[in-house]
Amino acid sequence: MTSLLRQRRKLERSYNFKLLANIIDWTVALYVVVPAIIIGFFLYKDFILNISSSWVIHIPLVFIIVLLFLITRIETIRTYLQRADRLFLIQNRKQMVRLKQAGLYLSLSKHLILLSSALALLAPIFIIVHHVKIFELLILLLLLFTNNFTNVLLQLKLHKWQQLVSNIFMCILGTVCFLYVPVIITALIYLILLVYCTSYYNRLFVYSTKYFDQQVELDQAAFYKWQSLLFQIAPELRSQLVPKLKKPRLLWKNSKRMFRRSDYFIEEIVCKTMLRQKQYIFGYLRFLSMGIGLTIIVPAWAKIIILVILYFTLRSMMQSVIQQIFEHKIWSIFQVTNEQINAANSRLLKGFVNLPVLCVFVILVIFTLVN
Amino acid sequence: MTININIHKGGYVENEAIISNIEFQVNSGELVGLIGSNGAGKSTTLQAMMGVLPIVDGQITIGNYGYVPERPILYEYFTLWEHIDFYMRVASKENTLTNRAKELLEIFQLDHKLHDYPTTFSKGMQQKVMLILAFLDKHSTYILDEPFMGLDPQAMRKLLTILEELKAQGAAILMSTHALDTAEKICDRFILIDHGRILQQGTLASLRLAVKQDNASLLDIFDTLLEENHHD
Repeated sequence: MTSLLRQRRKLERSYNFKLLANIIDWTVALYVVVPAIIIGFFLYKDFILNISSSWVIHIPLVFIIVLLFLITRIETIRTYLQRADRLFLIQNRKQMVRLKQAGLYLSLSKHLILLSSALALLAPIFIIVHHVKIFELLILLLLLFTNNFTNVLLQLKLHKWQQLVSNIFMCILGTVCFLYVPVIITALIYLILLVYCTSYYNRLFVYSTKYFDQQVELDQAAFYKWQSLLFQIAPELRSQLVPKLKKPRLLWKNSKRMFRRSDYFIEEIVCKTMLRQKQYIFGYLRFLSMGIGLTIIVPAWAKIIILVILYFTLRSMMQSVIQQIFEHKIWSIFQVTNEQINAANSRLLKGFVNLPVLCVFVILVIFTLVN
Repeated sequence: MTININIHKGGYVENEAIISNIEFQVNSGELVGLIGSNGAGKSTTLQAMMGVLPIVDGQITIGNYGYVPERPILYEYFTLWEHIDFYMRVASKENTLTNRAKELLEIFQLDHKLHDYPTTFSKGMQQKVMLILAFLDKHSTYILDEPFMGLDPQAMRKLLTILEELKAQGAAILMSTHALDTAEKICDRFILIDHGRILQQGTLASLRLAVKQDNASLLDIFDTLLEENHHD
């Protein structure tokens, strides 16, 4: 890996990390990720142990293969190029080639790891249900990998409709080769295709600067894609811009109070922020609905765990929202006491966390008793 | 009520003093101008006074105050009226301040923008919101950081009238500004500051005496003091 690539990746990582840390409190992440991994592991284990009696045995192999060809893809081959490279790097051809090559191999390696992990997870379906051999699974990995690489190259050269046609063609070709052509021949065809694609990419995009602007654009798009996702969660972080709201769009137009009681002013600021900053309210509702959904789906023993996770997740989320509001500079103008803050904090947590979780718990109890 | 400031050292990081040896007093019914170049330490001094500067070594006596920050601080999700209403609720003075709020809104011609978000206002209008919030309640002291910034001439005239009224009511006002001509007319005393230290303080007459220039303007005095300070 070139030092330039290392440097740019380090910068990207640190930027993304900061952005992520701004959006998701680590405790929320911990409450979501760790239980999700544990529950996911047990559900997966359960599924594998009972695979021969599960619904997957009714899915034909051809359907799974077609689906894999359709849904797996390499988003972009990263080049880590920047616009300013036109000025500085384009004269240093050797370094630019090294940067692009490193970007290519890095993107391909990442994709190969992802594909291998996905196939490893699906392996029991292939091996136990459809009696596919491990060697054949490796061939499928080669097919999918080459297919995705070819598709991403075609994207760079073809129009939208041509890309669609070529994707369908590649999907049919891959499926037919995997299911009906002898393994050795399939492997040979796709290895040749892979070598050809690599040399084609090198010739056209690595050693040539003809597509410099297009590559920069694609690379920027790939970089910002991850951030766009984060900005969907918290759009105010986009360049730290203040949202350009003309009038209150949601409830309580014309500045009317939500709370009649005068001492509930902190609740007012938090509730109105929640309502007017849709990411907050949608995030809250998403957590709540996910929690309710999960408590319905999971087995009886897991319901309480989900409820506890829901409680802590909502609590962390609300505390994070309240903290963000209190970090606003506005408090240098409005001076409130710690007692007022603590009292409001406690009331808000009761209203936004304790009450909904209690409601879910009561509904669950009634539901269980009725059944 | 007077403002008493005696800051030995103040800054954002330990052992990196931005301001040092800042010592002055603002008496009741007095308007004092804090004058200095960009980055001289004016806003830092005001922040130290309000207790928002992380590192401050010294003694500060200040009563309840109205504050106009250097840059407008507004809450993105509150309308103009909600800002005012919030202020009144925090101060627990809804009944007494509503009329004053309406009066100030009329004075600064923002009464037709009550239900708009101030974050969408122009710079001058946002500054007017800050002034309304600062003058809403009756305080014993006022800290105004560049209050004329972005204001139109009419608003400036109204602000000057309000300052005169507050002075007459016995408020102690400390105002940092770059509008030296205006400051010269309305301030009773001046504190000239550079590189986080007080260069000189006093009335216009005493400052003229200090630089030995009879008819010097505030700008001339400041320039002379700066030159003398740099030679030292």
